[in-house]
Amino acid sequence: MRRNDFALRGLRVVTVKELQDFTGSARMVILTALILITAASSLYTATNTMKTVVSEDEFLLLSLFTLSRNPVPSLLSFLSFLVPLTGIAMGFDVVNSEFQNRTLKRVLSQPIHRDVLLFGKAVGALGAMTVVLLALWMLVIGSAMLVLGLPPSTEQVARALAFYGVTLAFGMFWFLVAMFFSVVFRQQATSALVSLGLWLLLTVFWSMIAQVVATAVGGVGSFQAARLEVLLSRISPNTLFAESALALLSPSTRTLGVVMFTQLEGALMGSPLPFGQSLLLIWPQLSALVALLVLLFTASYVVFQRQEL
Amino acid sequence: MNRKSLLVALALVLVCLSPVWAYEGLSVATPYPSVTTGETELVIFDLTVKNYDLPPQRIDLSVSGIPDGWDYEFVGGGGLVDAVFVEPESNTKVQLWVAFNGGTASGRHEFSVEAKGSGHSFSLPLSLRLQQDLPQRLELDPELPFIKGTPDTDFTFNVALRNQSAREVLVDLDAQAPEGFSVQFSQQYGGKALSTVPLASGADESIKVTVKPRRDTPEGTYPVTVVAKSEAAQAIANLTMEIEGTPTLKVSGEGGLLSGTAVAGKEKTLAVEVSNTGTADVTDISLSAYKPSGWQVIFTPDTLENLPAGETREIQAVIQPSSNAITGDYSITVRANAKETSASEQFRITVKTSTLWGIVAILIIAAAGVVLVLAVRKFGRR
Amino acid sequence: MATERQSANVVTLRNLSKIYGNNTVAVDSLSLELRKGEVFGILGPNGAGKTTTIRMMLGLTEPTSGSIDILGMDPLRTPLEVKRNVAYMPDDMGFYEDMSGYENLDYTARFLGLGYDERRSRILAAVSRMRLEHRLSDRVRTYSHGMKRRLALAEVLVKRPAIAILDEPTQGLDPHSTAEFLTLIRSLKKEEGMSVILASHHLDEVQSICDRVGLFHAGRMDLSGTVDELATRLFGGKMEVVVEVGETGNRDVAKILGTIGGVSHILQEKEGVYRVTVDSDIRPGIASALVDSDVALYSMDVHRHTLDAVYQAYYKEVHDAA
Ligand SMILES: Nc1ncnc2c1ncn2[C@@H]1O[C@H](COP(=O)(O)OP(=O)(O)OP(=O)(O)O)[C@@H](O)[C@H]1O
Ligand SMILES: [Mg+2]
Repeated sequence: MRRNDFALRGLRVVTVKELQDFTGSARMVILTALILITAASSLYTATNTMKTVVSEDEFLLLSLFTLSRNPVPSLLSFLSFLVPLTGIAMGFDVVNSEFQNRTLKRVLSQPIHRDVLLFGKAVGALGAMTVVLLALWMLVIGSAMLVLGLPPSTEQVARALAFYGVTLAFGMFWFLVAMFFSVVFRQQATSALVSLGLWLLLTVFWSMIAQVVATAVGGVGSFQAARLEVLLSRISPNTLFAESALALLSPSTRTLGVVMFTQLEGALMGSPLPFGQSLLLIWPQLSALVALLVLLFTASYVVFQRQEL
Repeated sequence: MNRKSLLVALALVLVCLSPVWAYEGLSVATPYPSVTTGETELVIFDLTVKNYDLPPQRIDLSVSGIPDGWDYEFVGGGGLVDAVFVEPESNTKVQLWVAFNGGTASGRHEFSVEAKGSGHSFSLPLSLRLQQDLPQRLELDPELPFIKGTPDTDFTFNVALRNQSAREVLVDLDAQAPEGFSVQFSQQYGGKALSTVPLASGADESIKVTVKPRRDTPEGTYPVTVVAKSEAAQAIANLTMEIEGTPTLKVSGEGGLLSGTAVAGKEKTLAVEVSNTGTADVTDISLSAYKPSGWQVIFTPDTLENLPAGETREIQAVIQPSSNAITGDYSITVRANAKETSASEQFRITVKTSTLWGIVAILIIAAAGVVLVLAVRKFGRR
Repeated sequence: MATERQSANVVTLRNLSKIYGNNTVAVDSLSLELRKGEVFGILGPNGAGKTTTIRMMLGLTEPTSGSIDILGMDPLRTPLEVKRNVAYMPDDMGFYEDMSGYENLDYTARFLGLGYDERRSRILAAVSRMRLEHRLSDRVRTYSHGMKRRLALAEVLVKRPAIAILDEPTQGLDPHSTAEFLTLIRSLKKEEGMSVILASHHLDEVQSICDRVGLFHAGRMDLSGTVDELATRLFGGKMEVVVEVGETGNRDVAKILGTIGGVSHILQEKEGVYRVTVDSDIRPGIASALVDSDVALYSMDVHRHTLDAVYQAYYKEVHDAA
């Protein structure tokens, strides 16, 4: 009499192994070190700037993310650059390395379902990324407390936590993109190149493309064109991330995208939105990001499950 | 010069021209043997005891005929004495202090100082006329005893204070005013607040009386009595304030709250309170709002015919932010215009994002989740 | 009667077909039975469909049609239960190169739901059987090809399965290890009653340990049975007597041999040498018949048909038919 088989049997074993692989691999150690070093440098400049500019900043912790001084970019811009790279670095060979090492058949002849492997890899990556970003987050909170000398307000911590979540989702997006390509392409070099190409396209070229298309369709300087451009640029998850970060880290952000003058009439500017409202503001972005994650994973899932070993 | 004074002068000449009549004996002399005085006073007689050609001797002093209850003492050389010693052809100064108490009837009281030497004596008749104190007189004279004004203005009266007595007096100023009114005295020039004024005999001073009525004092006339009081005299000035009512409109949110929340494109009812904090009725009030374009603000009711003093009316303001209002604070100004006055107040309306789209977004995520579940269903069992 | 036989089978494949996505027919309505405690050899040229058949048995690839029954279970419906009882050694197996041999074995053993101590004792036992214990804590990266094969066999042992399916297990093993492996299979079969399916190209090995063999060709297994059975099917008998005679004169030796009972096939190899296929050792009968006919009998050798011969003959036949 055997117990009924649980569909996710073995998930923990896979997850633990993948977590060990991710956190132990030289690639991740280097990337984590890179992230932490750049973060420390931009935090250092940010805190220094903060000390020289004696202003009562209500959201000091949050401005640690956004403050920059030439030539060191802000922590936010570092993150929007390094987090996708980390995701890609983690994901581009996550499945096809198993094919190349011919470990897949051996592992899958053990009593587990095939999809457990994919779930385990995604969960392991999520765990690894959670840990890396948590270290970063603690670094920021720690610096804020050093500068402030007292713990930051709950509102700020909540915002910083939400930003942490968004960053995590953003990193996971790129991980899943790379994982998808690593399922589709048997060659690791191919999946790496395609992932990086897509990243480059969405990060560097997409805004230009959106602008060109928008002006071509809507005419130069028209309201339609501006709207279309925002709409197009939102196809890129980089825009989703940037907008979410803006709304979370600058509480006075009241709207994202194109604003008409009539909308600003009578508006009291500069007053910060409460956290809940900021969250509602970026809710579409967040849910688009999450839905993208789920769909990307589903795509990888379907392709992987249909693959012949 | 009349005839009487001529006679006195003649008599003086006669006395001086008669050294032949050499007097021998004692004398007790004082320059003013008959004194008029008020109550509760001490009268001091300066006595000079003289020995005319008598051997040096001790002279005992006493008083006779003094009314009951009067005290007297002889004072000499810094102490109380009973007797003096007088050398021939010389004199000794001594004082007689007479103190009398309240019980003494007014009128003329006669008594005498008896000096008794060896063989000689002398009696000096003294008279004290006791009468009421010399009347002190103060006068208080308002320039304009009747002033009109509103409760939020200061009423300033000018009052002349005059001392019509023989002495310098210290005048205390005081006022009786309706409760809640504050009264202040000050110098006409310089504005220093006063409560006591020293006034020389016959001098006068112009005093400014500033009365601040209570803000919510209803219409009517209110008396203010200013009293100037010295030790023995007082003067009163009756002032009258006629207070006119004022209407004061105020617009505020319910319970003083000047903010509210609304969802873009959605109607939201906000209670607005229009109150008359003044003392007179306000009539024909109409409400309007200064608002961003695309917004709608409707008041029910949007007019009030009459708002009596001290009353508050609640008005429902239905606010509909423009459907493309952005999240965050907007300000709208609510204005109440009446015939007499007007008031306005800024309200901070926080536009909130509709959670409807949040739910839609969750549905999108759920749809993605369903796709995943379907994929797992179809391809999962491997 | 049919049900009785079925219950003795641990593996039953019925009309199994597999058509890959690119329309390659890898397996074509194949039927196969494996009895308990039996070692079954799967033979066939490259691309015959051996590996595909094996994968279908484990549910690693889905059959296009047909049914599979393994220990009374369907790998499509209860894949985990099947995988728990069946060990599979893939033809192209690999390991996580950065992990040690022990860690690799431990990782797959975890999926069996075993506790730490149980895993450890099983791994150490299996590894010592495969003589790998001295390299156990080294990274697999440093292993030779044969050592990896042995590690894969150790993994099969760790699982302690009812059925082991081994795809070309001796590929790359040195002769000594091959011999050891063959002994191991025999002992597993004897001691634990393990059933084994073995795909191989080493015909002599297969012949030495397999109870039955199946010959695959273009996705079909038209020929299966013991080697003797196959020889009988192909040559008419399971053994061959090579008869060498002297001067025959005008006597027809073939005719004389043909009259002997039990002779199924006669082939004149050259002058005076005849190959006689027989069912059993009937050398005395041959000798007496020849002597009776005054034929000088120089020598008479008997030998069983080898699997090699069967294999060659079968695929020559198939090739000629095509
Ligand atoms: N994943 C696949 N996709 C498409 N065709 C495949 C796939 N795997 C195998 N085939 C084809 O199926 C047929 C059977 O292949 P299979 O691997 O089962 O042969 P085999 O008998 O194991 O050969 P070998 O002796 O070389 O191992 C071959 O024609 C092969 O090309
Ligand atoms: Mg093969």
